[in-house]
Amino acid sequence: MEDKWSKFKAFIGTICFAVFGVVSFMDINYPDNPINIGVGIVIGLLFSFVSKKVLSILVSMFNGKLKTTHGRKIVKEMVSKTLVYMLPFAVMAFFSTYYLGWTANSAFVSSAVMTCAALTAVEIGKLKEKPSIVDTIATTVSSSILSTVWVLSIGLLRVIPGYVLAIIKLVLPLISQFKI
Amino acid sequence: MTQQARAPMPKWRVILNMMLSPGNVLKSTVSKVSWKFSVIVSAVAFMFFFLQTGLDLYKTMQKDMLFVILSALKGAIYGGVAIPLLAGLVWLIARLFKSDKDLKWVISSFCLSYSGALIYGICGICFSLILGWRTSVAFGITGVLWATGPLMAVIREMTGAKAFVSIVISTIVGVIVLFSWYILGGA
Repeated sequence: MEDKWSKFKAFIGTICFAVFGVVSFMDINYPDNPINIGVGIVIGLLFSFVSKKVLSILVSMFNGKLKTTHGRKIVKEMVSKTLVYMLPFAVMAFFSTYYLGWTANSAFVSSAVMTCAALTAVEIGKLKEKPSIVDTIATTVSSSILSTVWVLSIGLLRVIPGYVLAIIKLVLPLISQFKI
Repeated sequence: MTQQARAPMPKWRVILNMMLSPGNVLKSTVSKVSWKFSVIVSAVAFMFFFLQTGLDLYKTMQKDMLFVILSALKGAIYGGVAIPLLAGLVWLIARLFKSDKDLKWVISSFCLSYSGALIYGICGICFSLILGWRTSVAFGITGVLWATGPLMAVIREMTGAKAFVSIVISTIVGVIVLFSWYILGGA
């Protein structure tokens, strides 16, 4: 039961990243643009994967002992579990983008990543006799890096939906010709 | 030495600790802090938040100075009245989950959750007035979003560590605050 609950939490966290992707790639003139939504989901999921890896690696570096006492995957599980705390930020980002028409939603992502990273340090601390400040520093540093990467990369990656549309426009006539 | 240990924590440290490590403050300090002080924290935090919105609109010549002053006033009333009322509502909901926390504790910790918003607000006002930046999103929204973490910790404490309940209630509170700011702040 506990295992299923942890998996559900991790799943919600992954969905939240997809939501962040969708709101970041929203086309103001055509909010339901399927290409933008699709690209947003893919980029969000990619960032989810990278975030989990970066947080896990950095926290693992300082918690070698924990792996021997609680199992090899303990840090990864903790990181995945705490991502569920992104839900309020993802919901707020969704409403602010689609109902209030805001486009500056990087604050939601930064706050979400920072909060989850801090909670990861708290959860890791609970497994030890004495919580370590090193975990807090490691998660704070990694979350700062991740949110900066998100903010900077989203600006550059916004051209992707345009390229995807161009490729579709190029390939579709070829496919129709091939069918004939 | 014993007297030093018993001395109450300075107010600025309560605010800073609530921003950085809400869990420890909730367990040890909130019960010793006056609820009136907490309400002032929330009122000033929202006053700065709404003031930044007003200043941003003033700088882009969409609104006049009277609007800026009224925005600050609306923010102070919002933080001083609406947030404690919201805390009362959450207290009622938490009673369904057999919460043993009294209303004063809930109002105190709920309002103190906006300590981060206060710190961000002070920084935002400085950047807005000294450097002329538009800060309502970068500092204002970020500060209010920062409160979500402490709010989740407060509700977790109230509901006996029910993580999912705390997430759901914090989400609802966050959305209410966002929409009410949009309506009242004229963003």
